[in-house]
Amino acid sequence: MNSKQIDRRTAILAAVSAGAGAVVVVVLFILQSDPQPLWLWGTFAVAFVILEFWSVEVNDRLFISSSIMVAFCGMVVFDRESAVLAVTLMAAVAVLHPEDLRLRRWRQPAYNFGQLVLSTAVGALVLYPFLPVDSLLISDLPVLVGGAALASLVYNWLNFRLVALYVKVAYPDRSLRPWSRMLANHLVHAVLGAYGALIGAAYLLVGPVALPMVVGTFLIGHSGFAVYSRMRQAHEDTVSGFVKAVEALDPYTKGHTERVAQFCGMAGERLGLDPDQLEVLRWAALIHDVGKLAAPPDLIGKEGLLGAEESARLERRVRVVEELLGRVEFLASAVAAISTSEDVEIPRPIIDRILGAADDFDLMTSTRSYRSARSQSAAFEQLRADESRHGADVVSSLIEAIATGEVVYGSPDEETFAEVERLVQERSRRA
Amino acid sequence: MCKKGPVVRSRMVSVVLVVVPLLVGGATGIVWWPGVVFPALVVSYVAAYVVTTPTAPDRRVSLSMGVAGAIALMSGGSLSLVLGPAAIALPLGRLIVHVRHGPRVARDMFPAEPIGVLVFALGFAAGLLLVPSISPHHPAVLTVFGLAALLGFVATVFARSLLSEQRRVVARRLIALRTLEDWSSYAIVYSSVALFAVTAEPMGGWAVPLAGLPYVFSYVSLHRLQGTRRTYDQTIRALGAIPEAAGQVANGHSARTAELAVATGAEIGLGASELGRLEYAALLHDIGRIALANPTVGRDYSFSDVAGWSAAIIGEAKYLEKVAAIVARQHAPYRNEGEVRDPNVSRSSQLVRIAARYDSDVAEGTVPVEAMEVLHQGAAYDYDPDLVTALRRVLERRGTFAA
Repeated sequence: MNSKQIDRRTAILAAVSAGAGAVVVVVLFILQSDPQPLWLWGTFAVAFVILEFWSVEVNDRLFISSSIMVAFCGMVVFDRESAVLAVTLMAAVAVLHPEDLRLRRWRQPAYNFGQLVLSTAVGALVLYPFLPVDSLLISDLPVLVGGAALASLVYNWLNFRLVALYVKVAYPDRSLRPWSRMLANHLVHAVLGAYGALIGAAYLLVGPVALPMVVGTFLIGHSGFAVYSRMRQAHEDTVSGFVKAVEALDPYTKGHTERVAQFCGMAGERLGLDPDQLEVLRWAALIHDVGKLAAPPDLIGKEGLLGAEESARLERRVRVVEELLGRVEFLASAVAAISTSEDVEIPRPIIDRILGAADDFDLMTSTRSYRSARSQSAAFEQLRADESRHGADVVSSLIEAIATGEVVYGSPDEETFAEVERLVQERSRRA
Repeated sequence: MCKKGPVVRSRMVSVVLVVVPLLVGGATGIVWWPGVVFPALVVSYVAAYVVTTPTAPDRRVSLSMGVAGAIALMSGGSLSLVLGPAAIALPLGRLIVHVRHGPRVARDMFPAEPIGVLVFALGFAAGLLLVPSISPHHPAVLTVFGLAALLGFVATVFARSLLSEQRRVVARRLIALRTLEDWSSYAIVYSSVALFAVTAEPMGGWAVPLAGLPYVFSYVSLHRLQGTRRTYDQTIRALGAIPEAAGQVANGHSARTAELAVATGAEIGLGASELGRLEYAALLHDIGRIALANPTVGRDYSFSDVAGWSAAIIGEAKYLEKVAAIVARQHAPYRNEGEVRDPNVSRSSQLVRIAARYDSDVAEGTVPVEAMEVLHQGAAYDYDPDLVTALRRVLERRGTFAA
């Protein structure tokens, strides 16, 4: 599908979504009364908008927004005659992100309008029958809180289905791996929805005096998660920065780590590794050459192959750095993967085998100080020949992943490789 | 005898601090609160003292202030109910912490935390005299509660900085700054117990999830944040030690330099975030030496080159840009000819330089007094004399020159 077709399809999808959202709002305006008092609705709407755009990473790549908590709190606080309209209108005002305004995007906000209004309205309608008809009593709480958890699940499921639909149309090549943790996400949203209803009940039974303490504690938690997310990014940036430093030591290895990490990710996904394993694999790929930082100066970038004594010296230094990195809690499993024994009797873990195959492939298809790059097909042949070392499943997944991509690695063909190799050796003889 | 004196005195003070509250608390329990309430509160306090909230790896913050807060709000500020059980329970908790985590942790928490509880309880009781109600639903009562909690926290900070074991090694100001970083742990505990106290009567058992969930949410967030901070620190330390693994500098040089630079930085009054940057800068100040493995560098390089390479490597991480700026100027003299001081050289850069020089000299076998003398001799040009004096004060306090 070319970009014009994608553009047309996303435009149609955005228009349909916005239209459907508008219809829902109009119908609710007809069926329900205006939420009163207006200042209270405004307060809820502001809280909803802030939380909608302030999603936080509560765990490794599991992002949540607590806006549903505010919505369901509002459902309980406003009376039944206006509750569904009140929360749907909150969703309707939360579609325009400042980033969309800056980039002058209209499709995404238009689609978001429909997606958010539809999922919020459906969630609110699921909760509606569980709302107390008269004044709220403590005995109503089990039904109310259970209903809110159910409604939140429905809201979250529908929301993600609609987002996935847009992503599938707008980015047909993009993997939907970030949503591989849907179960955890659903659970968190069910708890948030139920808790929102409980806060609404506290508002009615105790009064607004309870709200500052709820909001204050949640704000600290939210800020904590936001800083946590930034720290994670900083962590990755720091290690990547050092990897760049490693590569700067040897011009022949420029981009090696990045490519190996990419090959590992492609092969790992094809092999169906879970997100935790993919994360360890990515870190293992990023740090697998950091040991070189402690390499003896005379060995880095040395022309020709290393002798046995030189290899042993290099190996000792590399092991010391691996030991240092192994003390870092979250890198321990990645270091274990790159430090696996070469003993053929011990079965190698899959992460180590993927990393080994990806590393070998990149070494073969890159020019080194002692030889020129092999062609991609020759590297594939060699990997197949080494199947006993890396495992047939790993080798075939890696080859399939690379072969289906658009980039061809290494020398254009074996003739070119042979010619370059001949010239390199001739120059070496002359030297 | 001279060395044992303070230790014996310190142990006697610890014994008194444990025994006296036990006696006072026991008497309070027997005279005023016969029945199950008092023992139940004692058990709650003990459990809360042993359980901790998330904080930095070298500290423990117990939940005892949470129990005190809940009792204070629900009893209308009763001092005997808040402090009586605490007087028995907290020394008992201290003994448990002593057995489980060792004497250093136990002394670090006690008596700083009980002092915080005491000041909170007194502050809350005094504040209630000024408001028209003692009902926890009254906004004025909650305001007094918030102010008393703040007062209790400040008292804990002061008590820790004045009484902590670490004061022999680290400046009191640094201990206070590090304890202040725990404000969010205190805030979530006080806030959650206030929510519980306010909603317990009208909502019955539902008050537990209502107050508990935001606490759990914040607890998890702070726990994850501290975990990430810890592993980030570990990563920086591991990377900073690579030149040591390569045999380019003495083993442990980066960690010792960082520790000394931070202690001196705290001595001269640097803020918490600047101290954090200084620590990372000192840990990574030699990382540029790995560029020596690059065959193009050869033997013709200067310390400024190492500083430049280090800064370039560190600067690859956006988060560490300010750290890179400190490292970039680590080998610049604090003043040039005709200047009072070079405005482009920060005090943090100078601290890294001074601490690194001192540690290198000592690691090479120079005795500490002579290593200090080298710095004093360079104080007219290379090293900021104020910082050299501050380093001297830190080392004197540690007794480095005594031996």
